[in-house]
Amino acid sequence: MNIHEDEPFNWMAGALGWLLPGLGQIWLGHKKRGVAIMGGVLSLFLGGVLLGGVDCVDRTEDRLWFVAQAGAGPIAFIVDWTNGRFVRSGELGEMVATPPSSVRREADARVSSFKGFGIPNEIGTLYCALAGLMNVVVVLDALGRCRLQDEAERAAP
Amino acid sequence: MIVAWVPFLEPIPLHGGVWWLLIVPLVYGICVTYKAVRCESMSGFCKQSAGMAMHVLLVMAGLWLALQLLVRFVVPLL
Repeated sequence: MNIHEDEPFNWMAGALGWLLPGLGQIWLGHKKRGVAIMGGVLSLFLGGVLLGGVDCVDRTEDRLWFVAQAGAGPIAFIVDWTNGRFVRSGELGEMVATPPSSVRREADARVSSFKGFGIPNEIGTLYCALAGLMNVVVVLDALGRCRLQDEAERAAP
Repeated sequence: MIVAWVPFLEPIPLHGGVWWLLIVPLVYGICVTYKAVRCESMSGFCKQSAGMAMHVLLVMAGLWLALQLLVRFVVPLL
């Protein structure tokens, strides 16, 4: 990682990196690096959604997990919106009664039949959270990385 | 049943206690991203990320083995 002395942070690259993982590096001219990052973070995130269903990204019920997942960028908010729009609302599937539990909740609470439970849902949540946290590392890297042509100029004698 | 599974909407149906195998793609995905950030040159990137993933998995397997020995053999002796 190289940081300019006159321009400590590359804000544009950081913002692009959050919008789409790896885009900040691509914008700086590090195309192979950006594509590898994009592949890594997006495959982790989409792999998590594939494993756990869209319910593994849930801003209202799994707020702390969502803080980590939001690091992956708008894709986390899109999946959460999809979850709220189609699964939590019961538009897809049918609303079924919840089993008895010690957790306090309103009487006659119902959830969608597509709501995710069990180990696959937990692992999917973990995949998405780790994708978000890795993208935070990627954004920090993009903030401090030089343009490829600047690096070449510095390396030249 | 796998036929009834709706991808991206429902959790994947896992049977037979194989869920722990999902640690392999998870570790590989993290290693690819980490090495893409940390490698000075992208020429040996694939080899380096695979090597790092292998190291992490071997250490995890070693910890599993050590804990198995501890719980099954050492703790009963106490």
